[in-house]
Amino acid sequence: MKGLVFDIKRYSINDGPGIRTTIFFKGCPLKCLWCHNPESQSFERQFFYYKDKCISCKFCVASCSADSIKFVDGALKRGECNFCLKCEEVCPGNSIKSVGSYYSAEDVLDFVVKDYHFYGLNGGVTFSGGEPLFQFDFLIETLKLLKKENLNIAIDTSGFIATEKILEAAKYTDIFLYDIKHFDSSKHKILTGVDNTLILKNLKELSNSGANIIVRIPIIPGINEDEENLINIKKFVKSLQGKIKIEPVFYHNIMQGKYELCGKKYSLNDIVVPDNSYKREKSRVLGVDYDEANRM
Amino acid sequence: MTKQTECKVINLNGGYFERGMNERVRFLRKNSLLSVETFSFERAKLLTEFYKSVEGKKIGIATKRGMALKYILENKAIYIGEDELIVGERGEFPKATPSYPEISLHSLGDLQILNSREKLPYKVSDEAFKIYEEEIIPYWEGKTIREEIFEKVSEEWKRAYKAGIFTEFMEQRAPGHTVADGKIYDKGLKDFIKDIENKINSLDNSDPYFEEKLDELTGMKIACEGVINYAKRHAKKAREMSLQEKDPIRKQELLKIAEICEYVPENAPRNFYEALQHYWFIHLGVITELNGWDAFSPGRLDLNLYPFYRNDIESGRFTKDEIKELLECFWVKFNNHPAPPKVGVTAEESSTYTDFAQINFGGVDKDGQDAVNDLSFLLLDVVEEMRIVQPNASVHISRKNPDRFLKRALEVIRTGFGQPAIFNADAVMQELLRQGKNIVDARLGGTSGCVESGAFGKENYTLTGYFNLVKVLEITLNNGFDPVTGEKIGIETGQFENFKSFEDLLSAFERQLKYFLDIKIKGNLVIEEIYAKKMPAPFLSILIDDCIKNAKDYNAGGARYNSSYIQGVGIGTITDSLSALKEIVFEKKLIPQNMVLKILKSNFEGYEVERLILKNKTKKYGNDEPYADEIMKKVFEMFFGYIDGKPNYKGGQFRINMLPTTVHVYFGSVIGATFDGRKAFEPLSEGISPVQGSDINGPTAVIKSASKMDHLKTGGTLLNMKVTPSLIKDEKGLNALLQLVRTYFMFDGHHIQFNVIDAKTLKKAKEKPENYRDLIVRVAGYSDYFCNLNDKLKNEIIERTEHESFV
Repeated sequence: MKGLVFDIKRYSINDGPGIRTTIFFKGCPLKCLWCHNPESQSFERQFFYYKDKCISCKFCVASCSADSIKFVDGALKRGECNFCLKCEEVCPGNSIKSVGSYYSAEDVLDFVVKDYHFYGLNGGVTFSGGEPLFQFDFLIETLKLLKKENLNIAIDTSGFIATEKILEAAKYTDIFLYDIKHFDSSKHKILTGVDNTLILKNLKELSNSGANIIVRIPIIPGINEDEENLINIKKFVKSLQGKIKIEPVFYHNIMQGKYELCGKKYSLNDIVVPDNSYKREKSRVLGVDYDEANRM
Repeated sequence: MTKQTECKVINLNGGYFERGMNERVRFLRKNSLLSVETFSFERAKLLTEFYKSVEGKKIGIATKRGMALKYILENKAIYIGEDELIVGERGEFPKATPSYPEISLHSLGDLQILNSREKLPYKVSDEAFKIYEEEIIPYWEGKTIREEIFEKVSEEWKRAYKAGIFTEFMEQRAPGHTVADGKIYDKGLKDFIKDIENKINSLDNSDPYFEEKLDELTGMKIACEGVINYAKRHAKKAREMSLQEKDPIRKQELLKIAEICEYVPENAPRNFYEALQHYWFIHLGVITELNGWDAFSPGRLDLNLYPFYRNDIESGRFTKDEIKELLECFWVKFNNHPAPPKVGVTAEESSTYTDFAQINFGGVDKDGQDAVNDLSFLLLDVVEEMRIVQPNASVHISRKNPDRFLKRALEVIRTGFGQPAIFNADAVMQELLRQGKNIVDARLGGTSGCVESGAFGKENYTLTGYFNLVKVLEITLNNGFDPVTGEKIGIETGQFENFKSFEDLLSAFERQLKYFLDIKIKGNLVIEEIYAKKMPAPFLSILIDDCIKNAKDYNAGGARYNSSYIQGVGIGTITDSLSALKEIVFEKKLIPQNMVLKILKSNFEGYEVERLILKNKTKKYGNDEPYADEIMKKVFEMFFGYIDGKPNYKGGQFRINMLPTTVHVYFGSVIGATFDGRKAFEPLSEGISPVQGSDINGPTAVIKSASKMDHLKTGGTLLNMKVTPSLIKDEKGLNALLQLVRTYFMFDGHHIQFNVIDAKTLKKAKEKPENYRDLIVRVAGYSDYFCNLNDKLKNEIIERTEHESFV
């Protein structure tokens, strides 16, 4: 069995404890307006096109097995594709990058053991996405294989998944990074495309199962930052049992370029990136000690 | 995050002159920063006077050198600056930098260049020009070591040197790279004199070397007396100044200085203050005697001075703050001493004012136990607070040292000026053991200069010159010819077009490599002999075991261990070039073999597609990619194999290390385009770091690639790691970096240094240097002011930093 993975990052230090390798699964049931990985949403393979690196050598046109690459106004246009990936291979400037490759569980293992020695006591492997639980069978097979090697596993999830699946995955998972994007279900639906009933239910079930959970709250200025929402989330999380804590994740906009690369429009252009005092204030509302190690 | 970083840099600008724990330190530090690097003719003048005065007299060379040092120290100006606590300057005032005409005589043209060059000038006074023209040049011309070297080395050597195959460390500066050990704190110079006298008394006059030994020991004794008298002249001066001093507090300080200078270095120091002043006089003795590379270094300061520290704190003699103040004053003294003015290739290979005095803290003690103590942490506080480029601070991390020590060091590194560098104490020890040192000497060793391992106080480990691996490949591809000049400088190893396989190319390279290394080694033997016979260093010899016992000079093989290093440069560039040749030409045949030289010669003009393929579509070192890393290992093993263990003149062996200082810029400037997509005359990769911008799999991959080199076969490697501020902004980032370092060291990595600054800031600094004059970056084994670097180095560091593959 193979899964569709769109990126693997070594030395990930923001996806769970310690030094980790993060495997990004392609495809997500949510469509968050601020999505940091727009290329993760589709369950299909796709391409990035870096126009500034393209020297119009047209090697790609010649290489295309579907004969469907054209240049219009000096830029590449792609028609039907059978994903032979020849265009990517021949492009001298690396201006074409395919997004999404198929990995077997063994492929994933081979990759993640490269950094085995760096993981130390608490580092390991994080499955992120997209929504990793949406490629459930592949994920479970991979988790089982990695657990045999005694690797620490984190899953970064939207929680929008059948309850029995997340509970099954929990058997092989050391820590969940679990997003709550808005407490109000109707607003949640507007922002992400789905309502949050299942998400909140799953979080409760998961915490009851004794799982180790970091609830991550993306804080998007003007969108979900209001005190009422944050306090509601905080109260809800406090009402749960088990090893659970809250971590705010603050909005940034360095991913905007990616929207362009995959031909998507970004709708939240005007949001001001939070500064330190903003971060400190929101952390206070959430009852979190904002680590002011930011001496840089 | 980016915004925050800039703010911090701007804030520091405001405080450029205002660092230090108190008003005194801030004043001294500011003075040091504001002092102008000046060419001092004082030493040259005194030396010439002395040599003239003994002309025609039959005096042994070591005795003569001892007498020369004594004469200089007894006649040079004494400087005691306002508010100083540690005293003594090599020149007449801070940053007055003497010359050493007996080694390398500056011509009037050289002086003009020094006086007027845009980067790293030294102010030369009209008087200096006059004295040089009338006294110094007429006396020394034809008598210098530099001239003798160029006269005695072979024509092949000269051709290779001119083409930039290698550099030569000893053509302008004496053998150095050595470090004090703890014995100088147990003994005063008077005790060393006793040892010398005992040795003289035990000499057997039927020994065929009797005269030489007696000469050497006599020189040592006179040199010691010179340094003792020099200190006493400071005592006298301080006392005189105290009579004029109106401020009662300063008056007391001057009297204290007088008391201390009267006592040390003649006697062993009794407390922390005396220990620092004691070291400093010894330091000045060494760097006045000769201009040895890397000045002189105090070595394991926390280990050696801890007994004084503990005793003084416990007895209440000094508070911790008072000790810190003394250390900060001590720090300023190093910063007052730029490198002796270099010219020509030597100025290019080491393009910096920094003179590389290195201070080590951490590591293990003589019994192999964790040596980190309170003083180690205090020294880190001093490094952070002082934020100056000299001395070069390094922490030595053994697996036995606590994480909190490494973490504190990383916190200081995070403030973004490249210090301290981090060394693997366990690897350094194993390197020294492999070379045959005994285990205690190995444990008490450390690093000096940029990254060079040595047995402190017991070893002459001379760096002899950088070796341009990439140029040798270029010569190989051109069958012995240098395509830049058209001159034939190598041997004919076959036309590239006729090579049937990559292995053919590699074996041609190997033969070419051996040819040039043999030339370099032969040249080194000639040069070592010149220094051994003509330029003894009797004062330095006292400090390095077993020169007294052997009655033999440091430069003649008197030390317990004698190593000569050749430093390999460009491993990243050569690996990527060979990897591309192997894959693209010999295996995939994407570029025809008969086009390779044409493409390189054209500097990729008209071949942009080919250049992009080579840049983007080949396997590069630094990505945890076996295809490229295996080639790196092969080249490394060849370089090692043709050097390591060969006998040198001093009775020791040749060794290798892998470091560049700034020579990768010079070496790049003599090489046309290379097959990794590098354009002609651009810098090479530095140290064992990947080619700038080619490591795209993040820091763990860089570390894994770099670890495939067998570091323990070297005497030092240099890995430069770029770290964006965002990566270590918080505890989590810091802990991850700690884990990264620990893992590299588990893999036997020798050294790692971090540049924590974003490219945007550097670009601004390049545009508006006046706003960023305090911006310090890690170059290669040392930190330097960004504004002091030439444009090529600036660009290289920007590129190195810009490449943030792992954000």
